[in-house]
Amino acid sequence: MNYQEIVSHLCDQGYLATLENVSDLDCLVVSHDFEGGNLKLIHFCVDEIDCLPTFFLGNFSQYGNLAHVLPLEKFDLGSVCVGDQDSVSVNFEQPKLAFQESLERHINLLTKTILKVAWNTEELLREFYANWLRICDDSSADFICAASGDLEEVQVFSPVSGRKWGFGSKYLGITHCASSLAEFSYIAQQDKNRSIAGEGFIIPLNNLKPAPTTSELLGEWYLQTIKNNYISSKFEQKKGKRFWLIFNAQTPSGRTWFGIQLSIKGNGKKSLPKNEESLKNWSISPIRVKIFNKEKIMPRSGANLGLEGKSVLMVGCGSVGGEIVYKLGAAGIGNMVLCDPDIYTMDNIYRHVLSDHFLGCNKAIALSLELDSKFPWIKTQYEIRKLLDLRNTNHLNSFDLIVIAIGSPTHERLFHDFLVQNHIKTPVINTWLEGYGIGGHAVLDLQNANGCLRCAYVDLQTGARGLSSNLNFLETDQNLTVNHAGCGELFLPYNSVSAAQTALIATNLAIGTLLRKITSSSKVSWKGDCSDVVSRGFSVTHRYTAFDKSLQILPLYNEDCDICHG
Amino acid sequence: MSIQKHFNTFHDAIKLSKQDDAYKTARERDDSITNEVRNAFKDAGYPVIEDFIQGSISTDTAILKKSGDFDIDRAIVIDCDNAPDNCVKPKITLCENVLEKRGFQNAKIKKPCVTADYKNENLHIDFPIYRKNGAEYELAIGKRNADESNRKWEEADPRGLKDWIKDKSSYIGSASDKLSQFNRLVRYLKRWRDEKFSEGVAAKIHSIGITVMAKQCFSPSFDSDGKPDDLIALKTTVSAMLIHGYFTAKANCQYQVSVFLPKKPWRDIFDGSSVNTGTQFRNKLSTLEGKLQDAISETDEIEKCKILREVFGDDFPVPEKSNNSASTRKAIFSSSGAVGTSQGA
Repeated sequence: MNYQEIVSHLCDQGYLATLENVSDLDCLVVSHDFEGGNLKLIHFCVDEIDCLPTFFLGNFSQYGNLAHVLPLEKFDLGSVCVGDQDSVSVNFEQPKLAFQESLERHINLLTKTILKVAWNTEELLREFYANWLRICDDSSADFICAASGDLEEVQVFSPVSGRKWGFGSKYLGITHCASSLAEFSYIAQQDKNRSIAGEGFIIPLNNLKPAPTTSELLGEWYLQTIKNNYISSKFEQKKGKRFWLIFNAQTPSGRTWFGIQLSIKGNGKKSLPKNEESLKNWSISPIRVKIFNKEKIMPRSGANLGLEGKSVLMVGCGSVGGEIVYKLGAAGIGNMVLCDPDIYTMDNIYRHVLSDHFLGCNKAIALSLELDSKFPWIKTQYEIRKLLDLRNTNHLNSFDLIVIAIGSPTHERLFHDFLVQNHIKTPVINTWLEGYGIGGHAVLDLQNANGCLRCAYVDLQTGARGLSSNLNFLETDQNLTVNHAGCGELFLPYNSVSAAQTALIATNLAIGTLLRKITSSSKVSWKGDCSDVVSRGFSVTHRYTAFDKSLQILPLYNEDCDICHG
Repeated sequence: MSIQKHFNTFHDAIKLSKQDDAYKTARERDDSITNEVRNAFKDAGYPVIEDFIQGSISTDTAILKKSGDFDIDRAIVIDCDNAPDNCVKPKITLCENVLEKRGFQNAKIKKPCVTADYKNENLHIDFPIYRKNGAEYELAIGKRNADESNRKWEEADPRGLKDWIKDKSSYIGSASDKLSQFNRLVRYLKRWRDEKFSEGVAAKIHSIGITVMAKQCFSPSFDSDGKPDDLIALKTTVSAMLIHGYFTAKANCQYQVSVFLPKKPWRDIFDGSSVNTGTQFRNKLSTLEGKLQDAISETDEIEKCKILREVFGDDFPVPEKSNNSASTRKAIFSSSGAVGTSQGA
């Protein structure tokens, strides 16, 4: 790295830049005057630029608590955060420009934090949680809390002994009102060997001070906080050896949860310390709190709370159906009934989402168990039944959506006849893949809308009701299945990628339908590579050769469909 | 309703296939005579080693004639080693020992074949006779009293021609559907010929000529979902036929038509055809092209059908009122009992 060139460039740009030695380390030092004083920015020289060059703020202690600046222990330097480093693409081929850009960002941020006090305070509160984490002990266990946030007592359970990961490796705080909630039952189901560690209080803060910059300042922060906020006298009078105080407060970035643990020095029990003197009898340490409720977890982890009240009937729990229910669960669907009469066998292992400890188990049951353990707020049921056994009007009308992934055109058409004849109102998605990675399809049939499953089965050559879908990419009547062990052992070759791709288009349709973003009967296909098909001498359809709308949601309606014109 | 549905209806009205009920009597007569030919030729010392249907029935391009007549082209093949040098001799055997004995008054030995008419049943049968040497066929050419210079065993490739017409290897994606569209187009063109030309001229616009031209100029048309568009395909194909080089300009805006067989004996199908035939063929084909373009441009369903009826005659349907999306459709069920699909999950 040619720092002489960089210094020369910065000087040409009007900066006062020099190369110096600080604490036996080569540094690039920039001095910058601004209306409130002078900034001294120090960059420790590196051999290679792999991120935006970092500058530390010199004489950090003179500035007080600055947003986006954290102290560097043992030095009077501040580490400045000028943005998400990973997302910045740096011109490492022109280092002098990268330094100039970085310097400008540092100066802009620092002058703003120093000069604009209100903005600085707001930013300190916005980044409260990040700053709090910096003073926490990395080796201590997280505190999982199932609580609403109101002022109340909380019972604290210890981590399960020897557990290094999962819910069992963390403290668990349960309030009285939360003990019957789904989140608690979910967590309790995960780990049943916890011991009671003590008690604590959930304390909502209306007056939040910025997080302390070092753990040494935590006591001062605590005393100010309990002084400026309401804590029930009942809690104040409570005596104990160890207390967990779980705070929550509104910040510009949302409701933030964090906590402290107070442990008495020596023997005896005491009430919560309220002043500097009484605090001397206690050890105080910050703790990381992870709130566990669906309003927080579901949106944060990618689920949609709007789907929590929806009910889906999933028919077919094979490799496509298995992928779909996982994705629907991940989307936040609250209720699912899974139907499949098949058993999970070794033939399924590589293309099915289930793990091998479910071998021999009914697929619907296995997936139900998997979903219940994976998604905290889902409710699943299973039915060991075939599609045609589900022809019950009331039952079908009780769902918000029916998804069919059985790959059986005969049964699907028969079932569709029942839906039409009995005026079933529930939207239905039929989805299937084709062999050899050539593609997959999903069809959304919204009742009382133009387009139905049979539109996807109109014989395009004759206008008659076809037996094979006109969406297919492989021609009919080809011997596509592979036979390894005689009758009953025939299978259509495809892999888990094909199953997952197909599940994705079906799930997208499902979510769009449930959120009422898709309001007309639709079809979606994905088109894969045909090299395997060609090498085996199979023939593709014209649709395959012409298709260039992979993943696009297209109208399903076919003008020659007699059912849509019935 | 899509225009393709009307084309489908039209096609159903004009197509003729070996399995059609309308063809049943013709088929039975053909089978019966063929058996007698086998016996007669065996007695004559040149047993039949194979026989097959050739012509439009074998290539799925046959149409019902407006007159109601049926044609059958039944190829009779004898072994080269047993075949007499005089190629007319088996034709005489067929004529005298089979057809005349069955009461055919009008059995004739024509240059390329023997013909006979079942007048009461509107059935016309042609018997081309081949001798076969290895995989090679030779056709018996010559009339009843032809001298040696006017008769010969001529190289031919009836099976190769049939295979060429039915070939679909160059069609990518739904090749069978594209071949079916080609077959339909040939039938449309034949019906157009029968509608637009006088009987005498229509007889000179040979079906095999139309078929070869259409095959060489065929341009399939399907939408991105795979639904055929016969109107576009026909228009594109006719346009290509007009500029392919089949028509040679002569004086006074007249044309000579010339289309060569793509297989042995590679002869000009329209050899000996008059300038009048070529001119009419070319000009009416050009008019057809214009009418098809008019139909494509027309947005009203009924008006579109009226244009096409003008081209193809009364078998082309014209709905009484335009079928909009709200009208009721009658279910048409698949003609297959079951098909294998690629669907799985």
